[in-house]
Amino acid sequence: MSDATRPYRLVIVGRDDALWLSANILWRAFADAGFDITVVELPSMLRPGDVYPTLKQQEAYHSLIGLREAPMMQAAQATYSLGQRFSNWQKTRPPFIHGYSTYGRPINRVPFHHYWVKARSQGLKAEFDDFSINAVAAKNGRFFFPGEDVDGFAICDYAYHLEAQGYCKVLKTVATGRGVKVISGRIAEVARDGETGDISEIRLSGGQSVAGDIFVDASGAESALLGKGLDVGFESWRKWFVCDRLMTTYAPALSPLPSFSQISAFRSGWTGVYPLQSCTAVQQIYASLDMTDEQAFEAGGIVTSMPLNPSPVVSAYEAGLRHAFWENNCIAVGEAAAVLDPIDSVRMHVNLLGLSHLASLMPVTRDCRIERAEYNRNMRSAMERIRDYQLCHYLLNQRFGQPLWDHCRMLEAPDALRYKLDMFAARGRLIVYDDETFEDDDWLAMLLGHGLIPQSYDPLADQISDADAIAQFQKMLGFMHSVVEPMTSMEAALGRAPSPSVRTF
Amino acid sequence: MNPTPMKIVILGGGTAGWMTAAAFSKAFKPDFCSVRLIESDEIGAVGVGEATLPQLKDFNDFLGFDEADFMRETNATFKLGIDFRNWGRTGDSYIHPFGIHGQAINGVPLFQYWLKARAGGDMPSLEAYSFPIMACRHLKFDFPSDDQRSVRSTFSYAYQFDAVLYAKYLRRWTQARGLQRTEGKVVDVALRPHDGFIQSLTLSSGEVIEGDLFIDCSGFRALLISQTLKAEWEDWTPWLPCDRALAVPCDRAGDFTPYTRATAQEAGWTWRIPLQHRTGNGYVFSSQFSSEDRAADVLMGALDGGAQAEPRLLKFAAGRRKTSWRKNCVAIGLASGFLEPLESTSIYLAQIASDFLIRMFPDRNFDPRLSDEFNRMIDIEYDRVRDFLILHYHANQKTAEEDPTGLWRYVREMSVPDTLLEKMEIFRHRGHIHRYRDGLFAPPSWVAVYTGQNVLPTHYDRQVDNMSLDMVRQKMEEMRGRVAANVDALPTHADFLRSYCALSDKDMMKGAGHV
Repeated sequence: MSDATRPYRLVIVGRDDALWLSANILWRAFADAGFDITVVELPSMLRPGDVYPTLKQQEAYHSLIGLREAPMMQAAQATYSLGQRFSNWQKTRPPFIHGYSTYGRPINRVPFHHYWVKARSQGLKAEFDDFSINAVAAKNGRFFFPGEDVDGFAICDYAYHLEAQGYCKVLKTVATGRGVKVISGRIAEVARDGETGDISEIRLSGGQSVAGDIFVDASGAESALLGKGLDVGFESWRKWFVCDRLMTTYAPALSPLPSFSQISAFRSGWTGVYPLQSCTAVQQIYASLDMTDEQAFEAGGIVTSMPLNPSPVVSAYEAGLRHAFWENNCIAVGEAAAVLDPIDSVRMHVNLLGLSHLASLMPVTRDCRIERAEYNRNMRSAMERIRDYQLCHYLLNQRFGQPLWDHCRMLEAPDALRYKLDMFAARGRLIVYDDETFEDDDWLAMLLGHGLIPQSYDPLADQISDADAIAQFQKMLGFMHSVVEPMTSMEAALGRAPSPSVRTF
Repeated sequence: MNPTPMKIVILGGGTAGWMTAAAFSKAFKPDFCSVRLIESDEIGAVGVGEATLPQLKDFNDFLGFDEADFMRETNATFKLGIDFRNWGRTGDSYIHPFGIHGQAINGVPLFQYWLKARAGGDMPSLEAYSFPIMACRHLKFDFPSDDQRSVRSTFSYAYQFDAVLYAKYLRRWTQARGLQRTEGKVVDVALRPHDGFIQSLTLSSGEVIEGDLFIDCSGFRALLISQTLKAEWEDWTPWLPCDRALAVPCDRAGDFTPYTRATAQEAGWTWRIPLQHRTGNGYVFSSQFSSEDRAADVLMGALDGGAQAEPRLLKFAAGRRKTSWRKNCVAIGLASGFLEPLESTSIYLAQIASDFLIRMFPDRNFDPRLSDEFNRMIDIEYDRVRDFLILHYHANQKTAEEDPTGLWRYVREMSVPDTLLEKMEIFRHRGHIHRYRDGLFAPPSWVAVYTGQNVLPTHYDRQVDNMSLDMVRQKMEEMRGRVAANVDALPTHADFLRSYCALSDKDMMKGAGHV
């Protein structure tokens, strides 16, 4: 269909994950809807050892675009992740796992955490993450695909650790296999319409040009179209996120393979350890004011106790977002629109959020002011909610006497977050706002894990006797034990030789 | 939590008062707090809201009521939605169901496919794809199915009942659990000098009732929250100009509907709520646009059975308290805010307030964070309902002949809140509805009202184009067929109710033979 009044030439310009996810998802949504879709591939910025840790939402998008899991796992040397383990964020509390599952069961319609808060005040020893099937499985070296055995008790999901180059290659193969038109090159000029200011075409250094009605900027932090082409400025979140260096390296593969990533705080930032099948990706996130690159590399070796590849890649970053995500006829997805702090593995998800909003707001006329306003409103709100979640790790740290961490505890939280933390501290009341990526149990796992224990709990939790509550707790723990015990290893899930040692209870 | 139990005093024994009392007596053990309710038989209950929302079932389940018993005792019937008549134009009729318009295809609401299909030629009304609406149209009822794949799982239900009987039912149940009820009128309220908190109420008998927390369920009088504590009122009458209601019961006649009817009239709208033994009727109107005499004529002319009484007049104003919880006083029900019962929200708003208060229940220190959160949540609830009600008025296309009083022109031309304006703009453009998290009315409710009142998008979601028109039509026809076949298999509302909860010696269901 070529309805001249509707924009139909869709040009996706970018690189790596943002580009290939855009190509696949938009192709899936619009290939037969009368669009002419062209992909302009810019040179990759990926290096060996780069890793994409994802959120649990990733798998649904893979199904949507018809990405088959087994070959993808193989090509991306990927492992599954049941959650993230946070260690060394406080001296007085043990590490905790943010598991991608629900925690406990509501009792009499009152969320479980109220009972847990009450029981802890009465001397309960079990940690909050002892009530997450994912966390318990992860701690015990197990992996599982959520199925009927946990249905009705918990909602469980998993995320991935993906080797970046392999993953992008698979996505590209799928896209080109579907017939997506791909042109490779470098941008020479972003040409704009003199009257409207819209992007009219992308001129490549080879002399080729690609004209379009709608342009998707998937160029990463370069923001080649939105930032460079349309001069949309950047709003820095530096005042909240003091880390500004991301060092990437890798170590030999772990055996047995853990089913979680490890996020360990150290003096000047934190270390992320993401297991892959072929190697272990290691990221150092730190503040350049506080630590040199050499020191950061050395700290990484100490924190991980692993031999790190001695040629790390260091990149500077600044957390923040563009003043608009959608300007004129250009929609930026992923880091071209928002550079989030690497904590909580949210960067991959920013791509998906933008694409899913774009799919439901693809302009129906050349004048797309209404869509643009809606998109910008919703995406900004979604980014701010993620920011609030991320910020809590820094705000709630209990590493006293270290300048960076002392500073982080004193950060002024944005109003919406301050309010949320106050309500949680007062009554265990968890406020979840519109456009949140992280759900109730994600927030609870993180807040309680970092030791923000509410002063009081829902009075309805007093409606069952302590004996009943204990019995319910034991039932839950017993059930989880019975489910986790027979689970096998990550290696088994990947169809690899079983690892020699699977810990038992 | 407390050394000695908190003393709670509930002022007022209407629906709000007894719902709150019942919820507290269920939620709290006696050693946690004592609850005392003061009501005066001299002061009549308002009892406008005889139709409810599905959330009331949750409330009853929380208390542990036996549904059939509760329905028998309150003369209740089932409700699947509201039939709005004459709202966009005279002669229009649409149903706002407690459910959806067909199941989504590839993650895109069926409604969007319908927009495309109808642009390409004649299509059945959107109603034909909604199970609860078609059940309404055929006067059928049965409980929802647990099977998520079935169209019979795509709805929930509420009740239509006698609110005065419901208050009595709650009162019996609550008193049986030991709640102390005191008959009397408040003649004086004493405040603590140092902080202005309420210390005690003095009754006409001379009795002084002290308390730690006072719940103001005194209705429009708002004796504590307004008259005593001076909490300000936010006026919404420029958007919702109706300020009067006349109510009258009539004999059962006409269809025995599993839904409430709201019919637009010259200066407002009339309700028709079928109960087992009678039909509740009323006319909500604006005194700016109609005299009371004229309104009485309109109401009596709209009855489909013989009137059982003279119409009773109620006066009100749309708006809400800027702070429903102030110091140690929490307003619940009409003392907290008023929105006309067009979407049957009155009882819901009292229910949700009592639930929030339990969750945010204070101790004697009255942590201000708890009242802040209570007020924030209540404000969201009222504001959501407000915008949705305004839409019903604003989106009309009545001609001068259809609008002798000028009310409909006024509400069509008035400026509406920005929160509503944004929603309407993008819906008109492409049928897009951004789902919000808290408060009533999910996207299907908005779709029902927009389309029912002839607000149709110019364009549709382009993801729909990924499927050929033939395929869209085929899928929609399958959906329509599934809905029709499933509705066909249902019992009638009258038969279902008769076997479920009717008293055999009651002369209910008279006229139900029309089915």
